[in-house]
Amino acid sequence: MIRRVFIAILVISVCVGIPILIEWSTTGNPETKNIHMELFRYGTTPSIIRANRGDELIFTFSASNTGHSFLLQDYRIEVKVSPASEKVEVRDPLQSSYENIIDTDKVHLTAGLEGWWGKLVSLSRFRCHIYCGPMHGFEQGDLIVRPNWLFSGSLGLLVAIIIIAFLRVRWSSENEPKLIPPPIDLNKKLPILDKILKWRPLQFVVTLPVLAGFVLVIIAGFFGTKVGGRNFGVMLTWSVWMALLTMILVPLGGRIWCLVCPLPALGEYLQRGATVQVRKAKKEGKYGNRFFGFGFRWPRKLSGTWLRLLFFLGMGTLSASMAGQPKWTATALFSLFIIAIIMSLIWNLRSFCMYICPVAAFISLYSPFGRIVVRSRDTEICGNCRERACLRGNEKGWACPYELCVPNIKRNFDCGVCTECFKSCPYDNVTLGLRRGRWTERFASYGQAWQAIVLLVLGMVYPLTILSPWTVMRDMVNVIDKATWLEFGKYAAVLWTIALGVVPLLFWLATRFGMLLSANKEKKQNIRTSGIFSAVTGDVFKKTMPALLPLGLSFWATFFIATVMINLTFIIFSISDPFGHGWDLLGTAGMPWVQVWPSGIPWIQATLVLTGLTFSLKKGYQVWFNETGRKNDALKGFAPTATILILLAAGMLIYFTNF
Amino acid sequence: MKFKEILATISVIVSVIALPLVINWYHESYVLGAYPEGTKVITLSAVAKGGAWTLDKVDGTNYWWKDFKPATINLEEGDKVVLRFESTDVHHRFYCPELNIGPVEVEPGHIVTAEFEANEAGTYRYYCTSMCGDCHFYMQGWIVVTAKGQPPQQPEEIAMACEQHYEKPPKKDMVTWGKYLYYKNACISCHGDEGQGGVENINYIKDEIPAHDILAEKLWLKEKEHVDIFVDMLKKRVDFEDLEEEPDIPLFNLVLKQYNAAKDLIRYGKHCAKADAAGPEPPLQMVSWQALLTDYDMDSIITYLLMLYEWEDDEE
Repeated sequence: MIRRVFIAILVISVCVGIPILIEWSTTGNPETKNIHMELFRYGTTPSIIRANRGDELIFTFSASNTGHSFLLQDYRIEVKVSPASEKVEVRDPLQSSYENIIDTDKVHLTAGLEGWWGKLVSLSRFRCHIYCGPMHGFEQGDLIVRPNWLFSGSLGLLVAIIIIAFLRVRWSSENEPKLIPPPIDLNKKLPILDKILKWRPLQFVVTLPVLAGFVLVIIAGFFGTKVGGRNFGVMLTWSVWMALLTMILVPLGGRIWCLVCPLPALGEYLQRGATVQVRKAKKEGKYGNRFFGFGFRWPRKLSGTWLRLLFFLGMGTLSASMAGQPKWTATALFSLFIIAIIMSLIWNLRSFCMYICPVAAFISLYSPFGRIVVRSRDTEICGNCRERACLRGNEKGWACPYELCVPNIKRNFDCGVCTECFKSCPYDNVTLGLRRGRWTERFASYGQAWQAIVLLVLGMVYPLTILSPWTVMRDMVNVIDKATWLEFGKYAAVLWTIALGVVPLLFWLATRFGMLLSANKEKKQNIRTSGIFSAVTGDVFKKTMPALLPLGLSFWATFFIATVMINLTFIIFSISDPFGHGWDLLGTAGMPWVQVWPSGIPWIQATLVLTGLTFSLKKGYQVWFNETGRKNDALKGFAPTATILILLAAGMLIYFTNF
Repeated sequence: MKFKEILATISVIVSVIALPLVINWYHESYVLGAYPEGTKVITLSAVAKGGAWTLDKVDGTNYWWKDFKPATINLEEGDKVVLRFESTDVHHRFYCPELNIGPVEVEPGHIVTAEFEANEAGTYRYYCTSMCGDCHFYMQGWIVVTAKGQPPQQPEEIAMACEQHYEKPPKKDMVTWGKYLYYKNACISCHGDEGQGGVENINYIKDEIPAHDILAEKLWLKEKEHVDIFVDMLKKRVDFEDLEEEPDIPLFNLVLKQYNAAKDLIRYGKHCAKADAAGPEPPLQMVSWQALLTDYDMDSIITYLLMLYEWEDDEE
């Protein structure tokens, strides 16, 4: 064991050490550079400034259209540039007072920060701190100082991870079936939790405050300030809610958000004709409860995960414009709210959540990570059960809004944790479990496989467009502000083709290639004759795609961790002055905007990508090991898919650390 | 059970319907009502599109379609006033020199206030003095203070509104291109649509903005033909630093010096000196255009202004 740890450390030291040495030895000597920065809506030329540590940088500035600023928080400098003057105002952004402003035409800067941490910082992001339009928040560029330890080191670490993964496979024994322990029965462990889960008004009570918050978001979006960063609606939706979902709620709680989601709440109350109580059906029918509305079954052809995936992709394509303009955020959320109400009166149960809700496309896909699971306690009891109260509902609890029968819940994807079955089960056989060991969810349909791919792609597209230093990328997604519909159309077409066509095809071919690599002669012949798009390949493809989940979620997290760290102070003052109407509820409305540890963002992002990749490789190997039963075959089979994942991760790593 | 159900239903209705009402009530009575009694609270919203400080409420429901007009603020003598400034888009600066208000920096998303007392009847012009976009120079209006019991005075109409529909002519013809730039960049708002100048600039040493239709004279080009020769040189993009032979224009060195001075004025702008050193800063300032106009653009504007000169027919 000690030998293995020693070897691992050796591998890491060599893999990280060599690139760092190369980076160190190829960095040139300090010199003086003159840089003219042109600031415009929304970006700068040059957008990436490259320098060597110790370079003397002499900046001059100009701005077109309106006033902009060049804020480089790492270097404690903010330069205000007006189109109407050749002089600029320089101040320290960390000082809240507007004293000590210097009027000048040239700004001197020495590349590289002081201190031990400063020596590690290469990428410093500059932004605009004078609101100049809807995409203002995304006007950014980089000052990158060589030697770039993070860039070279993290790529080295990536190689080390791959080597160690191989070694671990070698060291593992061939036939050692790993037993996954059953989840901990939280209802038994915590009697109070059991009581809470069976408490009728539970869902209502936890949803109500969220519903109120939702109403505030809508009001703020429509009637509040147009400035995203100062608007409660935009901040709560994009910087708090989405970040919470991505980084905390889904990874820990799976679909726990669905318990408190306000979107379908009002529709559900109308459909049930009740908020907290249960209505028993007058005569026995399909359900044990009485519902209002037409209660049609959702058309079979439209069921599955495809529709909500397309909705998600649609909203994802437009999200930059939505985040930049409060009214579009409000419009989108309000439309979903209305659609949910209408649907609940026409179709049965939570058809909206099951087939339409774009948010569910995200939450459901990544829900296997969730440690909290709803399962049946004793399968035998369920086997003997005739009433199936969980599915049909009774006088104690409503019929499952997701059309699930508890014994059939083996995966987190479908159950929205509404806790009705805890109440309705006459045998007290439903438990809230805490998962131990790894997750084992499999994809049941191609829809889910595609979902995993599309979300992986979007997880890369967000950082690449919205957090991009390149103006061109931001202009493409900024359709509502600039009305560049043609450009946007091209972008949307390319994105949709890549996400729905090109990347899935790549993964499909990689799976098939892997099958051929790992199979013996006989099997190879079988695979060859079955054709490229055969169900045989499709089956393995569906089994492999869960390997995309860790990397996908880590990409999403890279985006939202940056968003939160940049906007944290904005969140605080948007709570104090939710609509930008001059309120000051917490006394924080006037505080200055300061980013939280901006120099740490690339480090966190690189860590996230590497962690995601590690777990993706692990997952993929497990899947293939289960499929082939042999270490070597599993390695060969997973290799092509793994190569794609490694390349994607490497690409994002380079992007986060060196662009 | 019945009681719980009713309570729950009421709380849903409260959060969906009553919450907005509570917000409105809080705003009206606690935020706007926080100012001392007897003060007039006026909210002015700055809109860069079209260039206006408006009294209308500007929000996500109307910003994109409504035309906002500069507000005339009518007050009575002795009014105590709180102005609440809100920017709906970019950074603006409110300035009313004669009433000694501002310059107030108005950042979007954040309300700032200014208090003053309307002591003397009169009409006072206010401005935006931070370059906020194409319509910046039109962003002006009036504060009208009327003596008690009198009908409000009609302020002088601010002649021009920001039009942004000028058709873009080909760049080749310097005169039409210069004219286009002169209109589009709102030079006309201060210097007049025919370069006649004359707009009042409070506490400016020259009182009024000087005319530019006499630019030819200022450049010492005393004959029409001399202007033609000079314009021809501009069109040919002659390098004045490196002339092979001097053109047939008298006092050409002087002409060149004046021409360079005029161009520097466009390029770097000019700070308008105060008439009374203790008085307010003149609100209208020549801004620097170097970031917005190319060398060719500036020459086109000079060409256009030279062409505005009205030559007297001397056929005797």
